[in-house]
Amino acid sequence: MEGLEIRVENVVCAYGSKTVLDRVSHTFSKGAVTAVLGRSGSGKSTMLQVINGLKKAKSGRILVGNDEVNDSTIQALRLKTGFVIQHTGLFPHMRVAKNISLLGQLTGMDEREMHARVDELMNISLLPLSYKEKYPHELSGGEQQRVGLCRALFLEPPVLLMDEPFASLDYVTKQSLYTYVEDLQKRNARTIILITHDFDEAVRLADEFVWIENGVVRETGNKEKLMSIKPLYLQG
Amino acid sequence: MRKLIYIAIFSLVAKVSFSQQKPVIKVGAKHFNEGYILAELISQLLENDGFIVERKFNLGGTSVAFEALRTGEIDVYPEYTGTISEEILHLKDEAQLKETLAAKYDLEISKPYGFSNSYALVVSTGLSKKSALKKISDILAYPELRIGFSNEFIKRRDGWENLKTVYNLPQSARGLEHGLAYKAILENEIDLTDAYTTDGEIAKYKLVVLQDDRHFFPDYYALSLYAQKLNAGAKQVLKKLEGLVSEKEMQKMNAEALFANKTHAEVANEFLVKKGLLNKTTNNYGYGFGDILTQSLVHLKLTLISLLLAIAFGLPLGMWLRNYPMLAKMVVYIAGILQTIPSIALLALMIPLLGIGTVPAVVALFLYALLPVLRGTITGLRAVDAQLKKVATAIGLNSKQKLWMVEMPLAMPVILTGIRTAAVISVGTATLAAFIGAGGLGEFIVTGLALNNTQLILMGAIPAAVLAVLIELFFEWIEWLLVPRHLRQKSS
Repeated sequence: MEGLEIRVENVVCAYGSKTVLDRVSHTFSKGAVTAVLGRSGSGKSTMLQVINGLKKAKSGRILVGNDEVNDSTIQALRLKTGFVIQHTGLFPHMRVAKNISLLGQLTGMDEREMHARVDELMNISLLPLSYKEKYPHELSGGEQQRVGLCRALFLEPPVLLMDEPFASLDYVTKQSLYTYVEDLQKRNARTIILITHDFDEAVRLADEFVWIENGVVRETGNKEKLMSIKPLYLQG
Repeated sequence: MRKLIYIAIFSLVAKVSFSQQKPVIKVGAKHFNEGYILAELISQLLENDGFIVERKFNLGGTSVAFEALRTGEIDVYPEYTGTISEEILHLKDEAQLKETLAAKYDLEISKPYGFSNSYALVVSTGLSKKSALKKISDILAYPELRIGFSNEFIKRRDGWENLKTVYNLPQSARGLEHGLAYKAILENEIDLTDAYTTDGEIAKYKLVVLQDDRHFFPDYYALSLYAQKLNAGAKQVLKKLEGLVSEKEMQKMNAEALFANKTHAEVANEFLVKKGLLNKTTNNYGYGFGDILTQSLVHLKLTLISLLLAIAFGLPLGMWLRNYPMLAKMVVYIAGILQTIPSIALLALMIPLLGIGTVPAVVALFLYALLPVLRGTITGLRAVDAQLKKVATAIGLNSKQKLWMVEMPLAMPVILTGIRTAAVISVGTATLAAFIGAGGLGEFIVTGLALNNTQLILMGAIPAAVLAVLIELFFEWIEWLLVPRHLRQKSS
């Protein structure tokens, strides 16, 4: 599936009286991995939540492809948008296969097709098929994150939103997941928005970046620009 | 388990549809020894005359029995003149008894059965001798006397509070079950209690009746209290009891039921045969295994219907309330207040609204079961990880899918714990349903208490305990079906 361009236009977002996004505009390129950088509290997670409709913007608008995000479009848009978060957010009462195929079940996908899709995704993700009947807590953190990615990719969404998905993982696990994401992009270039505070992770995975500070965009650009601002970013 | 439910429901339906052919007379009895025997006398005479009798015994006190009669839940029950005038009608002049009953309640009374069963205060022979206690006014000199009265006696107009004033007594009294008071006096836990002059225990335990030297207690002539609209033939039958029973005979019958290991029905039957009013006993009136089974099924029925109602009501309410924390708090609070109403009081409150029998019992049990179900649902749903709820929304579940696929399954262990608590409370509380004529294992317990008959109490208590265990196991099985092992409550 082709990626979709995501346009954030003049978005203002606040928690109570505290403004967390102040007239932010940015266009996330179709089929590219864009890293959203920033420190804790900079507003980068809010950016993702606004795109996904978990948080409502006070003003401004967001377009996913040609569709504006609002109450009537959000449910359909969410199914086109894979969502991965830190600590995976897998449902503890569902077995791995059920976790992965949940959205297929909700969208009325054919049973046989679902099984095939689960197997396919688990193979790509280097997860043994014997894990299908396990519960999430029986898997390691890295394995759980792969399952989380499988779930996000189940309906082949053109957009993938990732909120610090690798933050709590060890170095080796991280590296293998980076390779996995790169493989996925090679197969099928999606629009991926990757929230991270890890500069090296951004350098490794991102084609473009947005640096958010205190609710406003401080810098944007491609990978070369990203590497050039490293000293500045690490200074704070 | 399901089979049992079917059997229970079927037997209920069968019972109801079976008893429609001849005039049915519903005979009530207050839950004490003599009350049962007199009600048996009435019942057996009516049966002998071709009436079908529905026995609604074990009614929990004067107010319950009278309300049941007033609302037509029973047609007749044995009562005492003093109780009617003092306790029910609050009359100054006993001569107005008949008129007031007719004018205010459309009720009638028969002529007295013959004996008077007055209230009396009793002490042990030992104490009577040691302290020279002969009259009620003698106890004035012993402020340290330990007094235990039946709760009804404490509150009655012709009871302790006014007696205390009339005799100017300094003591205070504790309330206890009448059937247990004799045991307490025998075991020297209390010194003085209230008794009925015809109680079989007085002779058996060699208790001394203190003379009512200031004539505080009114007369308590036993008679039939019944609805004006009672079948004329049945009224004729009731006449047979007028003047039939002397005080000695009543004492003897009471003692036989208590100490000769005879059922009330047997005692009444023998008496009527001796008086030439019945030919011979035709029924076996003892309790058997079949009775235990029948009452267990009734018990199960009461418990399950009320539990299912509590689930049907509490679960959706809890689901709806999960998004309104303040309101949820209020509702749980109100349900909590309901829970604090003593069960017997709640049952009594039901009578003016719903009469006696299964319906008010189920409603009362439902109200008790509601809180645990509701609280379990609300607590369980609110405890679901907020992050998971957010993820569910984020990946595209609508709120209904989120509720059923994520929130409910994750809340299920807590919800099941609530339901389980409700079930066990119901099994326990359902034993009190016998007080308002709903049957169940409480029949044995309540009768056993009135007779101080441990065997009878156990006939109710053991199956009730078994039911509670079975219900526990049943819910363990449900949890095993519904909840993955790693999410089950630790306690189970």
